[in-house]
Amino acid sequence: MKYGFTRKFTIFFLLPTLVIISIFLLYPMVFTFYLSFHEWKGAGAPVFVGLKNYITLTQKTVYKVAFINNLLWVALMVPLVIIFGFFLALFLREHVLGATAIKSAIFLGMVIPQVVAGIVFLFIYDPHAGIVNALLQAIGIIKEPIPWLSLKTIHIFGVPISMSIFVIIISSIWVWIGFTMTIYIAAIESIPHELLEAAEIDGLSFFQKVRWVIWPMVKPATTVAILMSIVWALKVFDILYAMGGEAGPPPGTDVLAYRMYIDFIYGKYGIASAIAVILAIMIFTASFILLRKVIRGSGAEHA
Amino acid sequence: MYLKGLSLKIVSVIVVILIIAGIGVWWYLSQQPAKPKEVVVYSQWGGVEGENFAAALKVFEEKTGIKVRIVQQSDIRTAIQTELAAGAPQFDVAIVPWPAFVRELGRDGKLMDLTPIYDELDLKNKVINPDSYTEVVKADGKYYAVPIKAWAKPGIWYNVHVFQDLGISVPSSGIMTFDEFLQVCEQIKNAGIQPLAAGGQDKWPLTDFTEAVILRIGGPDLQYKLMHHQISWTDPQVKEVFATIADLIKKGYFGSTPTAEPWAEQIGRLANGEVAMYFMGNWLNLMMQDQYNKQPGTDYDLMLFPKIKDGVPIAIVAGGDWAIAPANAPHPDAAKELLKWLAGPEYQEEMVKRKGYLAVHKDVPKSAYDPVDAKIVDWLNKYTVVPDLDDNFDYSEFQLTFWNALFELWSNPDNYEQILENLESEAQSLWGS
Repeated sequence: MKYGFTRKFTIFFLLPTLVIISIFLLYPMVFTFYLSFHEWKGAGAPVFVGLKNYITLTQKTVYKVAFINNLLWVALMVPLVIIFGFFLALFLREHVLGATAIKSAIFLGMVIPQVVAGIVFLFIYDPHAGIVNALLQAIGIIKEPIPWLSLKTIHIFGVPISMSIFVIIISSIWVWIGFTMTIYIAAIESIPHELLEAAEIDGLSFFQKVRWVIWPMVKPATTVAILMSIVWALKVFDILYAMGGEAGPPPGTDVLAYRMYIDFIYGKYGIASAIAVILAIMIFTASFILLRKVIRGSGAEHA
Repeated sequence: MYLKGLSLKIVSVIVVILIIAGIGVWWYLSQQPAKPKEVVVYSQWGGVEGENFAAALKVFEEKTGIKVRIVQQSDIRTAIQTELAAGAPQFDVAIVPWPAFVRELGRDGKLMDLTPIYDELDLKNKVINPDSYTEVVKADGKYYAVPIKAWAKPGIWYNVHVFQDLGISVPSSGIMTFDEFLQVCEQIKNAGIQPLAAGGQDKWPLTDFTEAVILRIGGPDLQYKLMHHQISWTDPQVKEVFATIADLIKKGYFGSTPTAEPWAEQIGRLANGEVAMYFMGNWLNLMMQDQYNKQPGTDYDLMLFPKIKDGVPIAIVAGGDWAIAPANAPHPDAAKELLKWLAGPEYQEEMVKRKGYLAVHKDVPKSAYDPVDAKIVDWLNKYTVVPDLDDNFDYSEFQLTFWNALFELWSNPDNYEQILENLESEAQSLWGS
């Protein structure tokens, strides 16, 4: 009787949370999925169009550009923030002079809103007043200012991509590296000292210690860092939007989230919903693969 | 156990009482009498323009007793679109510059039918260039916006001192030939001054320059055909337009980084002689005087875009701002009062006197304008007026595609043929042919 009473009480108190989750999470997810198979401008009834929206995503150049830019973001940003984040955490240990100040400066990228970061980089890359061109011209690497946010177009798999996307991705590394650095700092600090001492006694060099002791021990943290970085790279919007100014990002630098935003503005809710579904599938797939590795890895440890 | 059961009963009773109380409060609040008459107006206007608008609306408040609350929206299109889609507009009147957008919303039943206001004020006869100001906001036989302002992209503003120092003169007709224009650009460039500003970072100024070239090569006919995709973007005439612009870019007349120039900053560069010329709308006149303390005629002046082909009539792109109201506006009667006032001569003359404003109502006297604006009004009456190309595409989303294509052209002028092919491909996916 005691447990029956507790169960009723529990359900009673869970009810408001379940209602809120249903209204603000479940319903929008289901409705978005439903809309992705319809055309709808926000008024009147949605018109069922089957897979037309998804087919459009594979045919129109603007969506191919966005998809490839997101893949570039994952392919370039993720490895770099992992590698640099790891080595920054490794070298900026507590006993290093100025470590706290440097870590704070790096972490600033995570703390400030991404829109602010985007606006800051807009100024940094300004051809005439920006510090990048000023430095490069001062040391004689370039004579004429380079318009970093309107570089030439290249073709990747036949899709026109602006080279400015690489400039923007580099900016995003500063924004995100604070996160991976922090994860690795925590992970490295939690490595048992005995292991490191044993490595010292065995005469391992610094790089051998990193390769055979530290790196394997921070694997779970690496998985989390990779997963979070992939999710961020797939969802990225704010920094790109801010760097484009009021007119939006330079052509050829679109990402899926930006295309989704534009389609919502122009009342193409069906296609926008299809993009949202695709993004969700990509993020879910990445999460599933990586988390399965973590679970299997920890299972093997306990076997 | 008895006590625990009692606690559950007490909690249940309290929750039920709270729910009933909440419903009661909600019902009570919904029965409250309507607030005093007021209208909420969304507009993009900020700075001097916004201040002038607010000051002019004070006159309306004093006359009618209806309070006006202006909400400046930097992304007004998104604000309007989302609020109308949600069926809960927070505004009564909005000022928009996109007739294609108005027609779309009107066709979707989201806007108030303003045909009765047109009939009451005889707007079809009282507004200049009805084709450009009233017919463009008509859909399915109904008018969905009232025109309240004209703007023009009249020509090339130039720094008088730079021209005088280099001995450059503008023909008395106000228009150069294209060869003369190229010579002037080359002369200015050799003097170490950037001949033309682009303002390309914001993309839309590039369309202004492009439309001027379209009008000088193919005339209004080409502009209209492109607006409705009745001609291919790969047509030889259109290629000639893009090739002409590409040539100017490759010659360096727009400087080395045209797509990194914020449009408003270029006005300052024109004012201080860093650039010699800038194709820009009539609002430059107000900004030059207000922000840079420069005088029209003395420090800067205006000339028509040069002739490119003989026999092509001179045409000017001009557009306007229109006031709309949602079909389910929170205060519909007050909204209608404001719309009638905005469409009338009293408000428009008030704004003209504050400078940088061109009225659409014919009853506003010419004596209210300053000399440069008066010149523009003369041109609007003398030459063919054509609506803005990208504001009037049949599909408003094509505007962003067009902006991006021009950004690409100014970044990579050698690619103009590929850019045109891409434009045509995108156009076909929208227009279907």
